[in-house]
Amino acid sequence: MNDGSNETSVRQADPAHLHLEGRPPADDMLARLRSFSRMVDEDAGRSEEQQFVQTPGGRLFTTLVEPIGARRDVGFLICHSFAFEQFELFPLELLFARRAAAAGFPTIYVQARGYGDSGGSLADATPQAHLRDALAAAAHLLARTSVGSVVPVGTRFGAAIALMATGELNAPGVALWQPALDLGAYLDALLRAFSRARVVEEGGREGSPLTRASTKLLKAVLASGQEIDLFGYPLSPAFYAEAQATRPMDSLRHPPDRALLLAVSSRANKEIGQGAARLEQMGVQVSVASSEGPGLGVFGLGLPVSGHLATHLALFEDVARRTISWAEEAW
Amino acid sequence: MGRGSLVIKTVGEAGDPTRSVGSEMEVPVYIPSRGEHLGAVVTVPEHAPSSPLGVVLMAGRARDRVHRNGMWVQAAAALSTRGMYALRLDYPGVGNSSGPPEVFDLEQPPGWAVRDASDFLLRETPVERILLVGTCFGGRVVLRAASEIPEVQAIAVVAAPTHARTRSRRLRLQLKLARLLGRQGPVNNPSRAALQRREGGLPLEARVSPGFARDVRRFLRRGSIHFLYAERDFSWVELRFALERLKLPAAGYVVDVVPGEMHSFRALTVQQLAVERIVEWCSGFVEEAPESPA
Repeated sequence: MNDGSNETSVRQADPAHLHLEGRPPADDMLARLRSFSRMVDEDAGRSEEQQFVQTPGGRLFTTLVEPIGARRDVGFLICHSFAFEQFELFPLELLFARRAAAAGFPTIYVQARGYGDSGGSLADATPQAHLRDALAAAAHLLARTSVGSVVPVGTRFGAAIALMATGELNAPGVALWQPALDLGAYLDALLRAFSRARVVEEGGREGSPLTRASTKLLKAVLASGQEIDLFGYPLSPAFYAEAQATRPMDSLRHPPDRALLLAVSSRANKEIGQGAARLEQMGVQVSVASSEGPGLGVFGLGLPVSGHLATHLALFEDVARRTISWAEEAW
Repeated sequence: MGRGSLVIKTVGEAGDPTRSVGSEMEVPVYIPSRGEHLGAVVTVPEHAPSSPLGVVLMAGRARDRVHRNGMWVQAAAALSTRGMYALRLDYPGVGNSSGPPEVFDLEQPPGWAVRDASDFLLRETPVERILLVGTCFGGRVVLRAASEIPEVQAIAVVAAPTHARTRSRRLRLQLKLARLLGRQGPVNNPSRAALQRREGGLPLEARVSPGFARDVRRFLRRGSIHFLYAERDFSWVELRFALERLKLPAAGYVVDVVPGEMHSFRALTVQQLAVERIVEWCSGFVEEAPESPA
């Protein structure tokens, strides 16, 4: 630090500090740090733990929220959406985890590889990788808590992952918020929104001859094996191709007993109607609900949105409340 | 890079901005703060020098601590390989932090959150010196915190707004009411021309935020500031006006201007460039490179 004069700058090294010890981190320091990984909120009746879970594919960041008192036999697995939608909807999903735990449902939120604190690269992600990571988190939830079964919950693209996880877990139920169950159509809608909104450079490189990118052109870029810089998130050709070929509803090997399809804006009405009909054909007891309020833009405009979380809070609370009420009816 | 002068740099060789993160040691924590908890992840270097340096990373948009496309995860990994501790911090009420999300005014950024996070690093790790890095609103947050933390040696303010928000009294009341009711506030600011007339004809960008002016002056008495901005950002226009009007000591700050647009970091190349510049800047404060593991 200097003496308070207006001179500043990059400090000169203190000679006393030039001898380096190359100290490895002390075990007791790590143990002390790890003691802060769990938070207990007795007033809210829940505990919360942030944890990295090691899987064969790498580490996954999870938040496990558990009731302090009586707990139910069912837990929730939250499956997040794609790219910037994960960033936008994370507050809703964590809010739901906290409210669900307070109502007795142990709940785990997992960030798939390439997202959030899990690290890795989104360029390596695929729908199947999302699913594998969700299933790894479900296994962690079952191992760490006393629940007998897991109910997946997901928004938008995450709803498709939740539906696929339902079949793999033989889950008794699934909750789908503003679902995007046709992944090919979902990504094409993102590309359309992107092409309307941005002037892009081919492959994200400078000096590109491209001007305004049409959806067709973006698809051609993907077909040529290059990724697209989608508002600061990479969309890889592998992800796009796999999404086009994925049919979550068709591959549902073990339909759940119950399903909640929750609309946050009318944009999902068609998808919800079709999804509900398909699930009912499979003998699933379907509940359809809707939530409204400021902040619905985060549920899929195809663009990153602005606006403050405080203004979205009422809507997020309503989504959580309706989902928990639906779950409480059966479990 | 000059001090108190503008340095226009070009984009370097583009590597893979989405490269995988290594196996650095990371510990997620809840930091006690004002009766609530702040969510954070501490990245611990495998080997640290004898006067360990900690870097607190603050994103600009109140969603979560990793920043867009995990920018801060990549930055933390790179800092740890250079012997630094890193802490990426959630805003109060956001991400893994507890409590409800709050609306923070640009003139009253929650510097206390960064102060509590810095105190945590100083208390629970061997860190003795701190660098603060904040983008957009986060730049204002670290600027507010810096002068209150004696161990802060320097700060990096990245694409932060610096002009005063000008709102009519009616709009302020409407926003307050909307906040109380949990609704979206109105956006019908008085016309730009009307506000400009009120400011004596000066462009609005030239009206320097009083909080920015106070925080910059206060911190420059004992630390240095690295301003990292992009040519096409509106905030770069604001900063130029601010630096011209505040007449800050030229030796106290460095301005690094890169091509393109940094606001919101909606391009992979810009994300990579920002991370590289920040890591490079932080590395200049490591007194000597850490020893390689045996």
